Amino acid sequence: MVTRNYSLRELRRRPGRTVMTLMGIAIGIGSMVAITASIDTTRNVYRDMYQRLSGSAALEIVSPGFGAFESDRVPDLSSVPGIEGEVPLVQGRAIVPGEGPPEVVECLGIDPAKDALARSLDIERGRNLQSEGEVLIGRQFADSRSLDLGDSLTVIASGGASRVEVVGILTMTGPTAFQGGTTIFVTLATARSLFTNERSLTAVQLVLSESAVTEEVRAQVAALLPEGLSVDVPASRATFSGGSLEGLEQGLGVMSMVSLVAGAFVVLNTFLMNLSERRRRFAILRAIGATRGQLAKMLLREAVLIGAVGTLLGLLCGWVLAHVVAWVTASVLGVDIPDLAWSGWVIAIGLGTGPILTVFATLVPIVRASKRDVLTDLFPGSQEQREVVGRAPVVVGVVLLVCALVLECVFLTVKLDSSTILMLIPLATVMLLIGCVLTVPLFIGPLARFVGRVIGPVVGPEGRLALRQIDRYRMRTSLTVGVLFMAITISIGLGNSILSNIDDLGDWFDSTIVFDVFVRGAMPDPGTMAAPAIPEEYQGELLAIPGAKYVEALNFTQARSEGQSFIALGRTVDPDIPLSLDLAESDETLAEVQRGLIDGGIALGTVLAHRLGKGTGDTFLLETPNGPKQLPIVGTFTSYTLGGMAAVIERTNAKRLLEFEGAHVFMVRVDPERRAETFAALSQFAADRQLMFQTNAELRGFIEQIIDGVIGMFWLLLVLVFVVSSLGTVNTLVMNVLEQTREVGVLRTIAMKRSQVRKMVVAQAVGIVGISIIPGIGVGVVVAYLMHLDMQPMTGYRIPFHLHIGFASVVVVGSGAITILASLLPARRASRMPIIEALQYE
Amino acid sequence: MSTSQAPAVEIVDLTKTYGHGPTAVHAVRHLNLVIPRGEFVALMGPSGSGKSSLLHLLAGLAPPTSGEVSIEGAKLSSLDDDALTILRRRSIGFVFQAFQLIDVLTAVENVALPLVLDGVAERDANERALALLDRVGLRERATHLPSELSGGEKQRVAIARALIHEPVLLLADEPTGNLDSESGEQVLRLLRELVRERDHSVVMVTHDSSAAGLADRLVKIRDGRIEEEQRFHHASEARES
Repeated sequence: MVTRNYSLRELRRRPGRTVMTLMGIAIGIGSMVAITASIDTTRNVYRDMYQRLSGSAALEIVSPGFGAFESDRVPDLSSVPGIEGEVPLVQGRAIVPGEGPPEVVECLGIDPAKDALARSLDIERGRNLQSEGEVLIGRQFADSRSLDLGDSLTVIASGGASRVEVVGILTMTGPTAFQGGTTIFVTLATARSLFTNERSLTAVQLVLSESAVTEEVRAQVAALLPEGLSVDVPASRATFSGGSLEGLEQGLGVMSMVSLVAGAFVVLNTFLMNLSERRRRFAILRAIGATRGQLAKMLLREAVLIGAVGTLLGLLCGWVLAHVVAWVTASVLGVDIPDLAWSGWVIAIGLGTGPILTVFATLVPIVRASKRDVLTDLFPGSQEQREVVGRAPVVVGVVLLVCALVLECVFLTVKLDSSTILMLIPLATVMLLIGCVLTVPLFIGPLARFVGRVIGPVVGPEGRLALRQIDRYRMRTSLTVGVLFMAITISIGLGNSILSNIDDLGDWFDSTIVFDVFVRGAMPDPGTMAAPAIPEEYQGELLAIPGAKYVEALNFTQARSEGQSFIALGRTVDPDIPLSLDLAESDETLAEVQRGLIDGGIALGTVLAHRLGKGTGDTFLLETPNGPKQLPIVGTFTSYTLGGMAAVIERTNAKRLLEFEGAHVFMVRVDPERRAETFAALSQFAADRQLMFQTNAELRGFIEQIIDGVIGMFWLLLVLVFVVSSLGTVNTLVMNVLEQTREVGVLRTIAMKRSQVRKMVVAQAVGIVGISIIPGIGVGVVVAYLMHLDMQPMTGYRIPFHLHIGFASVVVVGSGAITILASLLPARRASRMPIIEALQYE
Repeated sequence: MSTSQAPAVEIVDLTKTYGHGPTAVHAVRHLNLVIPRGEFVALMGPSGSGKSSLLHLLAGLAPPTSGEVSIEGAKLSSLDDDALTILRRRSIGFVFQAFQLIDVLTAVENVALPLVLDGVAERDANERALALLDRVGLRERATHLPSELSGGEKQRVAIARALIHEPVLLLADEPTGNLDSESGEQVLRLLRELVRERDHSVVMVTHDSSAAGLADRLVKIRDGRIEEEQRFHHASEARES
């Protein structure tokens, strides 16, 4: 009881330090939890989306890429036990124009007689569908458009514009609530007319009996299906969203790990300082009978308590941060992210990591504190003049560095799947950083002397005195330098990598998006590239507009090859118009690739090519509704569509193979001399048909807006890492000031003004920055280069490496400013210390 | 305000009270004292009598509750914190019981520190510090850190540091309290010689009557008041000789 009170009072006695330690843990845990929760939620959005639309159907028969297929291709499944019903479905995206911008809706063509088996549509007013030309809409959609029973609305899809009559208004439950209520239900016939697939379906959903085992039914159905059709759970469609998230996940994963490790170092440093300050009291406790075990237990309890409170704060902090991350992710993917899912897994990560991290960070100092010699600590004068750094941390550091380098070699030489790389990159980065931090004591002496020589003349005698103090507390300085070093390193490394990618994205845009105007129904979903198709006859109409020189139609179709999902880009390829494609480093010329595509070949995005292990000259196996088809690979190209998981097929060929209808976008090149009038005519064309008119600059602006969101989030995370590191600096300086209390008293007595005391403390911060910056920049550049190399296995091609000196300078100046800012509080405290109390301080 | 005719120290009706009401502690009560330049004064008294408080008031480390302290005619109450620091830096030297050397600085750097902080070029400050270390017999130990010096050596470095800027007044708070008797005696004799050579005034707090015997005047304090004053003529004679 007494020792518990002692621990609690110790924590209360230094509220500032306790709060800073808690913040260190909270930010670390918070960022990790936030990122895990928001990524989990985003991934679940797509899974839930498809599951919700499918209702109680456990399986669905689909064609590869979820395109349309003839309904008579589905075999008789009555021999398969466990199937309660087969529910046909035609699903597609359509546009509903209105007074504002046209709205993209998910249009489900259903058989009213059979659909109740799969979906429960709760009709609030009106009746169910009975015949063609009728529609059911959600209450929210009806309210937002002031629609009521008997009203009609226009729906535009690949079959053109159709008018449908509202016969029922649904409550916002089940599939109706999907994407904020933007799902509409029509009959199969209406849907076929909208999507111009007269006898086709996009899925046959299977409702199973309660006793049926899904996997068994799936196996039996699969055995009966003809080539080109497959059976799977509805949520499996979500795998398409994976590619868009991977790059984001890699960056966020690294950032959250770094933030966590920085937090751990802050905890370790604070605890070391805490123990150092309390040495005498521990010695007294030992002298009056406390055993080593009791002492260690007491300190461990303090660590667990701090870890537990820090974790709870971290979960709170994570909740706030997760909303920011989710908001950015939602902007990137263009989907509504529902309330964040705090799954048991996410909370368990947070709850487990905090105390484990704290205990892990404090265990060694605790054991060492309990083993100290009592007599030595009872006499203050007998303390070491210079902190001795043991060999063990340095050895561990070297081992970690070697492990990180080995992992790097593995990335570059062994073919790994992207999920393994995604998991290993943060691990390798963290090992590299921890390794560097633990080996800092090896270099701290020479670095401190070097920095002293450089800044000595500027900081004056107070500064030189300060630099001696830095050198005196080597372990403490090393840990603080380490945290700041990590912040600088990762900022330069990751920031440089992001900026290089943005540069590359700019290059890709310039070489690929060479069109002046884009006419489309709506922007595709960036997560799945699903988009409403519009009639392909528009291509001819657009070309007929005076000043329109060339119109290229483009379709985004989900497709599959050897189990790998990707987006097939069906593009018009005119032999007389140069193809706009950002070819990867290869021997093919653009003209050769263009000829190859016209001849029935396929060009692969570098990421897809890398995942499949294929290149130019190989054969590509495309899964089509009519079975697998072999296509020659005629080239590889850089693509940012669906994270690079894309392939180009000449559009007529693609349509034949993948059986799509309509077009998703028309890209128009305009005669530069008739630009204004052509733009006006194209804009009028789009307005007349309730379509979206977009100039090249607008599309670039749209993409840049998404990029800005991502960059904004990375900046936010970088700032958090710097906040953690500045907490470490504040802690170190406060502790230095505390340990120098008597010295400050003496200096104030014999000669030092308050301003000189302040200068001395700030100079310590300057010294710490100076020592951190030198290795920080060096290792930062190495990390930037390694991250750049690591991208290659993910993207399949090498982005040119440029060191962004301007950005690195901002990081260096920013880190210096934050650290110096962090030193102002301890500096003020030191300068205002009552001299007599300082002289009597023990 | 400082004049050459003014005494080194003039204390007028000085009072220092800590706290308020019934728990107030009257450390110094209406104390008057004048110390001419060159006089060595020993302050004695039981623990809690107000010796150390008086020393702190003399150094301007704490403000008096009432009354005035003047150093060479300069009234401490009229000086702000920076001016007080400058006064201590240039006119007052301090020797502490626990030496209070900066342990990351060598002996010569410790001694030169007040000059360096006052803007004197480091080379000049070091030369003067070396000369003074030579005078206290520690030239060979000049580049040693405090942790490498004995107690007596540390206190000799502290004395050199207190005298480096030729102060008017040297304040010593039990300078032999942490030393064995032999080292203590050596330190005291050195202190006596140095202040006699340079005509510094000294106020030394001590519990040791033999140490007090080296002073020109002994002031005994009890409950914050001067209880008794005693002059040691032998000391004065020695000084004159």
